[in-house]
Amino acid sequence: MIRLPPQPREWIDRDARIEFEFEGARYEGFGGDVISSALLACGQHLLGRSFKYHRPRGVLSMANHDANVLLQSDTDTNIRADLTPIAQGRSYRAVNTLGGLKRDLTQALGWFDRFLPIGFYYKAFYRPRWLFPYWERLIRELSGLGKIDTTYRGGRQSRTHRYCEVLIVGAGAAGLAAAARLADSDLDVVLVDENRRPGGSLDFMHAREADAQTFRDEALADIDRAANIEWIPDAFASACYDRYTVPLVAASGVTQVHARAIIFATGVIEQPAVFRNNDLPGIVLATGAQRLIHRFAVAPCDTCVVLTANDEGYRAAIDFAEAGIRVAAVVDMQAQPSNDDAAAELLGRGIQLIPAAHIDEARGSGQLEAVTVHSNDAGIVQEIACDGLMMSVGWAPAGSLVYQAGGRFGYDDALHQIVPEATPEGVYTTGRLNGVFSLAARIDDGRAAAAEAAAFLGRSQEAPPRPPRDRTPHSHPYPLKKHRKGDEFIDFDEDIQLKELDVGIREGFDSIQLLKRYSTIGMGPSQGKTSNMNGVRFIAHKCGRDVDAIGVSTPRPFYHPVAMGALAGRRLRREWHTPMHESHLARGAEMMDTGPWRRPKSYTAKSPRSQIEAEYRVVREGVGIIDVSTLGKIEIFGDDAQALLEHAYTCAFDKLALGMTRYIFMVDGSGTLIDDGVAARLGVDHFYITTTSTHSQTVLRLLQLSADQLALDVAIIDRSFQLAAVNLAGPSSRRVLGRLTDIDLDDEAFPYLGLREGVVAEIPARLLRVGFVGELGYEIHCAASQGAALWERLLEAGEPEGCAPFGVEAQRLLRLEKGHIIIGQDTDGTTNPFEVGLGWGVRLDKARFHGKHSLQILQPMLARKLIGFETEDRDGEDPIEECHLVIDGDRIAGRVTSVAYSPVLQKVIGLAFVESKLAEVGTRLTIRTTSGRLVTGVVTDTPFYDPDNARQKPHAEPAYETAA
Amino acid sequence: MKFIECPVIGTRPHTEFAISGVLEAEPAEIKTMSAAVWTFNRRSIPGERIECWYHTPTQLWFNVTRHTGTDVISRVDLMWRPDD
Repeated sequence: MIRLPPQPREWIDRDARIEFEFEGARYEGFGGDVISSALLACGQHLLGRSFKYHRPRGVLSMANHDANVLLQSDTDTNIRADLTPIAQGRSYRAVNTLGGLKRDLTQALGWFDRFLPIGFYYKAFYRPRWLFPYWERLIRELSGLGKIDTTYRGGRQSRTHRYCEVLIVGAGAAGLAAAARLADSDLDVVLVDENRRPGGSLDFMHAREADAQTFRDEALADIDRAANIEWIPDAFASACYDRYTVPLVAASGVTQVHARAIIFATGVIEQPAVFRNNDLPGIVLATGAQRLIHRFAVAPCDTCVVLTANDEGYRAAIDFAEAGIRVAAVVDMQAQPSNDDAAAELLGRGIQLIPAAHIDEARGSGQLEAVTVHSNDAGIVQEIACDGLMMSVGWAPAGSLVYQAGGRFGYDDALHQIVPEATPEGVYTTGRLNGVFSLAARIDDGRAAAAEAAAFLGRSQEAPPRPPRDRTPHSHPYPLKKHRKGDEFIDFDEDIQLKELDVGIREGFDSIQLLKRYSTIGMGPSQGKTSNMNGVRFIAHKCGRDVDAIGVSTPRPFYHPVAMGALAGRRLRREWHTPMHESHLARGAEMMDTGPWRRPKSYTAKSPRSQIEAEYRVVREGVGIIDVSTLGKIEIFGDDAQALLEHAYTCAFDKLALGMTRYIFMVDGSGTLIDDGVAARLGVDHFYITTTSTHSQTVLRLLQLSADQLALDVAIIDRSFQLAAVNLAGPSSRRVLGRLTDIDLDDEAFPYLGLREGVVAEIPARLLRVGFVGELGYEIHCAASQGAALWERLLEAGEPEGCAPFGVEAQRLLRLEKGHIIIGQDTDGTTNPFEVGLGWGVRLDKARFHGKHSLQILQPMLARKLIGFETEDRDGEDPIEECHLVIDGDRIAGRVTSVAYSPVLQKVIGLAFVESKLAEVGTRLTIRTTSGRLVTGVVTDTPFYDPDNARQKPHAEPAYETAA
Repeated sequence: MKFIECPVIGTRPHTEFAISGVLEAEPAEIKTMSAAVWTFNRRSIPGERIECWYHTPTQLWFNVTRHTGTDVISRVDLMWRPDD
């Protein structure tokens, strides 16, 4: 095996020498070599082991379909050797071996293949059941490919978007013709190819044809010159979503291309012939061999036999002879040569032509040594020694993305190929994918597709007629030969033999969808690119039906495997900061996520319980402030403002007096609680409402929808980001606030649940007297631009009372003692208001409101209730936590939604959903902790703290002393 | 990406929209079974439907006439039309 002299279109840089290791031995290749080509150039043919039987395997396609040659490096796994360039000093090993590639210990599995029958998983695990653990252990050991480095902490890949008018996928003959036709037009065109160089088959199937090369160079010059065409090499179109969105996957990351029209010039995938031992290293697809020769200047063998059924095979045979490979014979599965000129030339070169014959068996130990050729009818058998067999027996369309775009395919009986029959508007197919084979026709087809796309986008283009499909077959209708001894591999990825499919069909799995899942054909790493077509042919043949009737399963994304890192992309998530954000950070706050918002969890790193309790105590005993700017804030004006709220929320607003607020909540159509907040009346036709932090945009959307549907005369203004808000809470809050405002804070003048507008610390503000944390408190809303100033002024004014900020954790504890629920924490996606004791806020006597029908039905159907419970259990190691289960006998009877140690009550309190029969006060609950420990809790009334709301009464004195 | 041609706001990418399904008026009175059907069952037979699409940046709702089989949008109207 030697490197060939320089080839006209070779990809390698002979001046750059690159050393690498494979299976512990040192190798050297040229710059531009992929791993497979460098190893072949060094005479290494055995490159991998098959998935199931660990049979020796080598190169097949050199087109990123070689799923048997997957390698492992120190940092990466399942590296495709036919695609990946060699890297200086890198060390590679084959995946899926035990004890190395050469002496793979598991290859003995091949001897036991009768114990690994088709449908193995279904059959082996079904019974006896006691064997299951054994099978599981064995399969976990043997299954899967490659080892993942779980300590990998690599950088994230980019994800970008590219908008264009025309996307052309594939830069072969048809793709280049299409792009060149659009050069210098006013259309923004993206041309992409998975190879690092444009040209496609022009560079390896037509490399010695002068007219092909002239076309290639002219088209590339046009494209290069055109300012409107972006050429993206080395990136594959991984899928087609939404008809016009195609993610391009490159080594650097994913680019989502959003096009207005797409031209698929993706070509065809060469299909192998199926016969005994057709998987031996040395047996390659003809195009695979041509890629090796023309891209990497590597001869895949010294002496070859060409197995053909089409014109391409004859031309390839000449190509091999030109490259200096001895062609021992051309075996034609057809009676008549597809290319008479080429046949004559081959005969002239003294090459033996064997028509109407097939390969019965390949022989060799770890490497092809000879093939046995049988004539189709007469019993002539001859054995030909060779170390290479090139297969050129047919094609399957590379049409995955066309299927995904909504295209339909059908079988062309003359071509024996599946071709597109219809595509959605703006989606075009061209070239060999279309069943157009001569170079001139492919170029015409590409130009026509480009003109059609331009016309679709409103550019007046006279679209030339499409050339007709070829009428001579380029694929053999049935290139499969069963052998009595088996080992005829139809799927190299999954090691599936003809005899296995045969069994599957006999067992009744005679539809492609069933047989695929039963046998796993087409489910390996190459996703059936070299097996599905033959599989369909086999079923059609066995069942006596035609290929169209069997059909092909729609290929799902992705076209090639995509690394998780590429899918994840960069973490680009929105992050909303309140106007007081910097101030929180300056005070050492630990920030946490609340939907898109960042909020202070507490004002110490890691938020230890001592800190949370200290913040809690400030509120209960003195005064604290919390940033509640994250609340959704919506202002509603108009004659129908009240009608809108009546429709959107469950409660009635007729008794809501001017300058007063009330608690409100809304349900969806099924009666599930989705949001809560406060509504304030600022006028007859003017309301101000708040929503939960994470749902402001949803509420806004729903309010707007109701308003539009009911044709209400309202204006809905989202003030969530215009206004900042602070809750000043604690027994001393009135005194602190009094220093900063003229507003009369006397309880008569500004009662609980009242709203006043005025000036606080020279800042215009709206004040709401609220009681969420269970203390005297004022929510102060002001312009966002003044939020930070208000925050500082409040802290400053409260200094004598020890005013300090408190975070979300302290607020959660404060509200839990008060028994206030948090939507989304104490409720789930099926919770209705009656279950959480909010029935008082549902006015079923209202004429209509959103969700009323469902609530009417749900009211008498109460199956569970949210209750308060307390327990003396205070295990530091194994405490009760949220989502721990309430157990009743041997059943799950509920779950804990909130739980915390209450400093005021000096016991653990919580909220839990329980079945209605366990909801009576005094009922003893059994709660199972993480370790499985069973803890007893007692159902108690809520609120736990200040049940009479004494803290909101005028001049209340602390009714509780907190523990020191 | 799909682009939607809207009145008032012009051609916008579909990612700017939130979709809340087929427009159906809530019946005035319904019995238990039909309420469950009305709440939870959706007609999923492909066909032309008028759907509610919300354009998030402008807070505008649109009635979008879309064929759910072919995904072809044939008509877009503002849901709220003050002139009506």
